[in-house]
Amino acid sequence: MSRTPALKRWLLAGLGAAVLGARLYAAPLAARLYAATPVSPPVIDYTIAVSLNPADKTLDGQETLIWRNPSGDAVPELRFHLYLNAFKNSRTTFQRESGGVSRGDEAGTKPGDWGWIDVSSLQADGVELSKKSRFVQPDGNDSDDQTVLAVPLPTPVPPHGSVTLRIAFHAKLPKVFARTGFVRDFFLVGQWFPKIGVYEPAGMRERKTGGWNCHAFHALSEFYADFGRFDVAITVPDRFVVGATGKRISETKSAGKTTYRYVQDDVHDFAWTADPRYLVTEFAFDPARDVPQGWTARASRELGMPEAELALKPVAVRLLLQPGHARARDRYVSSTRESIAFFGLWFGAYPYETLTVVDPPDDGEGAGGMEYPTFITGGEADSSLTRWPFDRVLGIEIVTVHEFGHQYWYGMVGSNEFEEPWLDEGINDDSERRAMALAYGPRQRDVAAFPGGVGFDGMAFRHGWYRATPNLDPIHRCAWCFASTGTWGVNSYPKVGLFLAQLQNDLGVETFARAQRAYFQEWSFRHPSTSDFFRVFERVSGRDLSTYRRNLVEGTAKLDWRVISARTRRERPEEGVFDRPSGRVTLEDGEVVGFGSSKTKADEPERKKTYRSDVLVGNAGDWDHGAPVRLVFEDGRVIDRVTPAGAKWVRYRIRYGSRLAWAAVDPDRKNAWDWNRVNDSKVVGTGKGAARTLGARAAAKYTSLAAFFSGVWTQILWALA
Amino acid sequence: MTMTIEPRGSVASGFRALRHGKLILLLLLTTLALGWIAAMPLAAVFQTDFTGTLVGDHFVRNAPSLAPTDFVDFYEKKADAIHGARRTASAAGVLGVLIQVFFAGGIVVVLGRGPFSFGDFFEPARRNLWHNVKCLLLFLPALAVFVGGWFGGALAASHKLFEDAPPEAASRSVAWWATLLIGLLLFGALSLVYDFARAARRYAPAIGAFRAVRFAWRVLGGAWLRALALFGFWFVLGALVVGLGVGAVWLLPAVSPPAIALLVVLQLAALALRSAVRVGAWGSYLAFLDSRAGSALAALDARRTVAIPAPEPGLTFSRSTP
Repeated sequence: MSRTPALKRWLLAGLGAAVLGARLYAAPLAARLYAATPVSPPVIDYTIAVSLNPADKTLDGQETLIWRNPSGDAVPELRFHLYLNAFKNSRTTFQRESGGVSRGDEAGTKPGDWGWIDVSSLQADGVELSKKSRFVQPDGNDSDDQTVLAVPLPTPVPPHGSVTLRIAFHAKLPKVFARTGFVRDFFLVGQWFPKIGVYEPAGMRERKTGGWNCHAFHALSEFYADFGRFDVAITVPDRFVVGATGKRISETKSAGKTTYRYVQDDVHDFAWTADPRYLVTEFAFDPARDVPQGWTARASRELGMPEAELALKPVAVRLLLQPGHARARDRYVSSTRESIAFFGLWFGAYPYETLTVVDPPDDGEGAGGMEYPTFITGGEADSSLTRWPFDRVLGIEIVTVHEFGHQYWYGMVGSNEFEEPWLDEGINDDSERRAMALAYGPRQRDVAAFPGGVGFDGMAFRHGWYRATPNLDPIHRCAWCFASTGTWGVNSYPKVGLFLAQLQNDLGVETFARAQRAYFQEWSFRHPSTSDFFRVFERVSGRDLSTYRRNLVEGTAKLDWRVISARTRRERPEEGVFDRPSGRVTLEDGEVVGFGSSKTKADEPERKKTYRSDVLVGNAGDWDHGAPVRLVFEDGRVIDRVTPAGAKWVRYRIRYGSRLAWAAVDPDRKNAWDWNRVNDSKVVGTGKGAARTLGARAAAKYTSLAAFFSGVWTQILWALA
Repeated sequence: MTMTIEPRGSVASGFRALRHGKLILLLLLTTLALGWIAAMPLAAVFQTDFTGTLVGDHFVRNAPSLAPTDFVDFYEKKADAIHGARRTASAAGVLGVLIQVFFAGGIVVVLGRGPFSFGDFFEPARRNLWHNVKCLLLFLPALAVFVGGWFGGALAASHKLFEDAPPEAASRSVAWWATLLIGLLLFGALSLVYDFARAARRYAPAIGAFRAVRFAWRVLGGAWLRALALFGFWFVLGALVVGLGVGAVWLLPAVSPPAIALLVVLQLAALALRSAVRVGAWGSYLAFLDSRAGSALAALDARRTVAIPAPEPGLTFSRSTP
């Protein structure tokens, strides 16, 4: 807290508020994104000097933090995340929830594998506060957990005022576990410094009153912090190659060590890495050269914007590759460029000058697949996966595209990953799928393009995951509130993709693209909520999307249109006495057998065969949403209909001169949310009734295949025994 | 029946054994029967779902990718039937092992000795069945102990030794390949002992399982390398046949009826070739044994029999000299 007289403090605070407000609300969006000067409300300003001790895997740090109160409240206490304490022992919230296993790694297999962070000194305006600080468990979690530190202040920070803190800390990195740590001389240093939480003013994210949003580190949660500036000096022994968030602005050598200084504005986190074995590749994203052909035109069309307004910025990229992964270099380079192009065109130009891509070692993959501002970790570059035939598996590309996408969803749109993981993971998962489909074709998920085209498309993968997981939770739920890791996973990733695909199909590609771009543009460098997401989409689309929110995002409703029955039979011929224009006739089995006038049998017109087809479709799910229906007849005629709004079932009765061949609901798979595709169709009869369908052949083929593979299994056992 | 002993090299004898088309056909038909038994739980499911809906249509048109969304939903819906089919296939596999144990008893007596009838084949098969079962009961635990122990121990040691070595270190690769190679050699050696123990009944119709194992050990003494080379040759050939067969069958799109018929022919060809490889391997092993069996038996002090079993009444033997 400042020592200046009280009145001056309040005047300064008022001025700060005015400046803050002006920057928040007055700056044009385009200038906010493309300006070189800080454009976000600078709530935080970190200046950190840290030294790595590779022998004992520790860090020594000195941190100066300027925290600017973004609210109209006087804030008497600060809250800090001490994330590394999640790896301190087996009784932390993270360890208890995860069972000591995360991302394929097991915690604490040896005594030196644990990690922690100690704050030895914490001063606010020269007053030592460390002794009065205490660990708190804001989520009602385990009392042993030390991942949130509450620091009472001698004097509250006034509304829109600021406080300067000086913090000394000592940290021990864990053996790679849950994204961070060491293995041999490889260090991935994430969530490593005392990081202040987010004070949310009243009105932000539907808060009624202002307060700290600073959760404990849960096994399934990620992170949430305010935007601002990072100025970090990293000191390591000379032999280490270092990469970090932001731009390297100086490099100083002294006594066998090198200090690298990195600076970055408009970010909410800072991570870095060191490894003497990195192979460094520096390349650029050049908008004039590296945007794939046709992408700009397509984006322009979908967004309804002139191509000139989709201009991208050059980016200097630094790839840090493991020595054994040299084969993966070109794939990292191409997928990084494609990512910058896709996300920049569809949402907004990547505004930062730099990007660092880190390739972790095979035994440090727990540090891979992670995102930090301007710094991502890749993965799946194991040498066995980069050789034929596995080099066709697009793991490297998927991870790179996904992690780069997080620069947008989480990096710039700073949603709360604790409370609303779907807003970053789910939206990014969908963006990743679209980017991959554009760059590599629809069949690109994991097992792509083996000879013969064996592969899964992204939507099928997500659909399969959705079906395979119990539907216990809605999409919108706090990360540690899900019933299980499985339901967290399905609701944070693929279900969101299915929801967004459903929305896109219903709104149209262009409207969806424009709405999503608007959401990004309006909420960059801010903290949106689920409500904010829907507000933007409803405004841009002009539609009420409450049914989507209520059923798909806040609820667990299913959609399951199915063909319940389909029949076709020849209409019974007319029988009996009829008064026709030509006179009275008697019909038996459709044929005239007698006359009530002088007219002859020859004067009666021939009756053609008529068939009565009856199709019943119904929605066995609980989401009230329609579906298209297609009826196909043996003579090739196709009838397309759409179920009326709000219908739970619909019966179609058709009299027509040909038999019904098959009936299907949602034949073109527009309802991405549909639970079950197998019940979407019925083929009527066999032979001619199954006109132009191949079911009989499929039955014969796959039965023979089943017998064949079973025979092969027997032969293999013979060879072994 | 006239039995002749023909002069031959081991590999050549193996290929010559392929002339026994009836034997290959027997193995093929057995495989097909077991395969069909395992496929039956699925046949009804395919018939109902594939002809009654468009799922089969999607599968066939998207082969070999199986129209992933349909596949996932079909798999979920028919999980019970698929699970049943898998368990049936497993059981059929175990039954297949027992059947081949039975067949081996006949193969070791008749192969390489000229034409034979099914009667000539099934009598020794029946007679040697229990002996072969005992050999299997010795082989399987030995496999678990030696091969399983080797891989388990080697992997644990590697984990400890290379903890601080980078993943791409040459030492890790060398250790991994060495582990695999030695494991395969161990498997090959045990497999040879097992097969030769069963083949002991060719020379000593009453020999017991333990003595047969000692017989096999003596036969292999001083000729391990050659024997393992034989094993490796037929093992690799068999693996190639399976790999190519499976690959061809899986990747063939097969939408039209002629293509599906071709698919079935390919399946039959793959299984027939694999059966032929099995017969060929036996032919090679028996040729290898024929030149060594006498001395091995003598060393065991077992009652020496002529290189061919005692003649059935009414049968004559002739022996052609090299």
